Amino acid sequence: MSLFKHGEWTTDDWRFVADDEPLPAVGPKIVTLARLQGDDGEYLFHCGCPLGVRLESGEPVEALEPWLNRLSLVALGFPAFVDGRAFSAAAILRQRHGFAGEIRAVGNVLVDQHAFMLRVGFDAFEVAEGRALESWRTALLDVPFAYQYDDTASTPVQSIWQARRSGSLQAGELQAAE
Amino acid sequence: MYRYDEFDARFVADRAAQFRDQVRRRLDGTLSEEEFRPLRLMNGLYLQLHAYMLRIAIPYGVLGSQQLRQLAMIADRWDRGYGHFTTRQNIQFNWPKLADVPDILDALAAVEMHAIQTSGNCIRNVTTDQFAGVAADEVEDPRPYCELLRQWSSLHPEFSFLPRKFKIAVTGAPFDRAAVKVHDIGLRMHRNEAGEPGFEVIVGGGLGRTPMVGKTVRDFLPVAELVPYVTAIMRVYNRFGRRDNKYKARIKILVHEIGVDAFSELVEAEYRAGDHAAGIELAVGEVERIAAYFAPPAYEDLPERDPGHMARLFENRDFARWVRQSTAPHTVRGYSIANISLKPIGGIPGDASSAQMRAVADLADRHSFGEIRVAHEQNLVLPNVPKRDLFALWEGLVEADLGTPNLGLVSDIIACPGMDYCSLATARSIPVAQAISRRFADLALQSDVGDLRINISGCINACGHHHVAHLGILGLEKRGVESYQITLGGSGDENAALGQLLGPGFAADEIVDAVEAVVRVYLADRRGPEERFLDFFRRVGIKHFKEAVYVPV
Amino acid sequence: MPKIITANHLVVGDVVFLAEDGWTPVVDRAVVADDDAALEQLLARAAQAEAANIVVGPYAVDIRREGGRIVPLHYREAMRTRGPTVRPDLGHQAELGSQR
Repeated sequence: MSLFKHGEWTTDDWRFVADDEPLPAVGPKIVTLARLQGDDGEYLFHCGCPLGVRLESGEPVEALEPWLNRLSLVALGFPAFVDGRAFSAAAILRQRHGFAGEIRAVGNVLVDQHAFMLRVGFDAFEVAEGRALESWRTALLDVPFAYQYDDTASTPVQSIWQARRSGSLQAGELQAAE
Repeated sequence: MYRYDEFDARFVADRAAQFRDQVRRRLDGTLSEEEFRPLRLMNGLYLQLHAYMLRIAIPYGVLGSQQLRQLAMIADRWDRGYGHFTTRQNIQFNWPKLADVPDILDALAAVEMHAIQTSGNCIRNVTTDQFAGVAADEVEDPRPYCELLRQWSSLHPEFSFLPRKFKIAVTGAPFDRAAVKVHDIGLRMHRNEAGEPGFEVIVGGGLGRTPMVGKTVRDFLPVAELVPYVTAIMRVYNRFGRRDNKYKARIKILVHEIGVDAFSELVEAEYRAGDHAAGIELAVGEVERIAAYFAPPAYEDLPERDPGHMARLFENRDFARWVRQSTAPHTVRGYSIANISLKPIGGIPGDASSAQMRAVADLADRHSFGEIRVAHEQNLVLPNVPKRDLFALWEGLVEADLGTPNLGLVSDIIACPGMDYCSLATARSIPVAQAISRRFADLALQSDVGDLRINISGCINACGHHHVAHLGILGLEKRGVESYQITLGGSGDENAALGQLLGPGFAADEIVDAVEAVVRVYLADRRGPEERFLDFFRRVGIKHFKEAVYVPV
Repeated sequence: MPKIITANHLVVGDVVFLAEDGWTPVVDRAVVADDDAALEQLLARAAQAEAANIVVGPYAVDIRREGGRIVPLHYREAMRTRGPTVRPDLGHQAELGSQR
């Protein structure tokens, strides 16, 4: 597994801990929603190390509300190319809850969805080995404009609607800045 | 009509360049078919029964003459000299080579067209009334809102991987020519008591294997709130729509299963939870900008009755028949809306040759400010024809084999491509349409039958809209041969209704006789010509037809 | 049941059939598998051709022999060997008219 974050391939400090694994005493870790909601859920925060939770695509993002301000990371699962539920989950986390931690795409994470993911607020991507890693840097430049205004810091595109309104953007400006 | 600014142009050109690179990687083997398939589908490229098929978006059915000429050029240069206009106001080319598709997309981009989101589980081409902006019965012009939705839905970051495809239709007139009640979202424009324009929001209509008439979730949505409210609907659907079974994945199933009240509450809660001020401001500004493109053309001040035109009506019965059947009232005095039938007797519904496309483009330049519309009935429309010009237009149409005066009649048949082209089809549609059209070739008979709409689908997915036809035909496979079911009494207008099954299916060589039997029952038993087929059906019921069509053995 | 293998050509999109010497638009030139072992061999060849990006979506079709000709049993597959029934000027039926 490789981690793509902020435009770079980087080492992953986080460890996903499955439900049947014992919890490591130290270090940043990602647990399932079931574990967070379990009897020992509160205990997970006591070690003082960063905690993340992994949400599968069918699990409601609202379930995280009680813990959101203490979570450093939310990992959202993509079970298949065609399952786009995590796009809405990320958008809700950023837009409605103002979640400022890392939103990580996990599962079947494909470069063809990279721009869409960035635009709704994902900022880290776990990519399976064997994928063409170099294309992750370049694919974003394909269509550097979008009509919609993405209210997320991670968006790689310039909003056409906003640019029309402010008259600020010259064609080609974005690419020149890359 | 809408014209691209530098941003629209750049967006479409970049997207075409991106697909060129994807095709290159497919052809050199970097991408497998499994990886490439979703990418080509997002650009409207299917692999059909005999060949690739490219579906090109005609946003809300509005075409300029230059665009139509370019489509003709594409048909000649990269396809087989014709195109097929669809029930979603798009056009399809049936024979492109994969290696040529990037060049085709560049040629489209050059005339402000594209094939983005004409396939895949995303928001498809927004459709509307083919008379939008010029219909005498219109409350409000829906086109600026259609264009707003086109832009808003293009490569939407959150809604490009929905449970299933998503179709939005808008009408600005009380007489619904856009079939908004059988779309995922139907938007009907009307005014509130204060005279402000807004939308009735209808959700969960659709055809396919589980046909449903949509339900109203908002009686009046102020126009400014359109984008955030539709966003709320889409988010509820994206989150809660079924993904376990592709046949239950459309929004109509979600609305049906949880009930319209619960669905509506989810949408309203989602809508209330968001802060939409900035988004509304942006969209309102954008609509204002867009609306300027839809300002009326430079109409002349013409008399209501043009003396030359009136004289021609008296002199020429064929012309008079065409005018009676093919023209509709225009908002501006002295002008008409002229429909062009793509249903010649015995022809293929919706097909136009490149020569016909050029002829229509030339006629549009001469008589209709260069504008053409595509109707979901698979016909074309010239929306702005001075009555003075109607005779010249008609002569031009006749010369191009486009003068069949059968609009809205029994031979004006909607038909999907069926098994002659489509890999999903279970039976052919086009030959049935052709045979029915020939059976009722006599225009006097057609006029006598009057308003009777026949729609034909070649499989249960219902691209031919058979459920909402007065007389619907569904082609299926039964014991290794084609078999055709008849439904009666459907309607896609503001009083939308789904057709009722007449009974057991008919073999390919029986279906035309069965259709004729239905029509004969109507002709024999109606109260008079003023009782339309649909009214007759509603009065007598399906049983009356059953007894007459299925003769006891 | 005798079978042949069909697919679509990747670059052109045309319907093709697996023959002794590669892929052909002429159904009568297709190799017929009369038993499972022969069919497996053909399917392996077809999978190779798909992996080599020559064809897309190969699959087996039931056929019967009529004289020297090969006729798919299902009407859908019979149509695929010819082209649209409403446009005899298009598809294989137009290009290969003399051979069918």
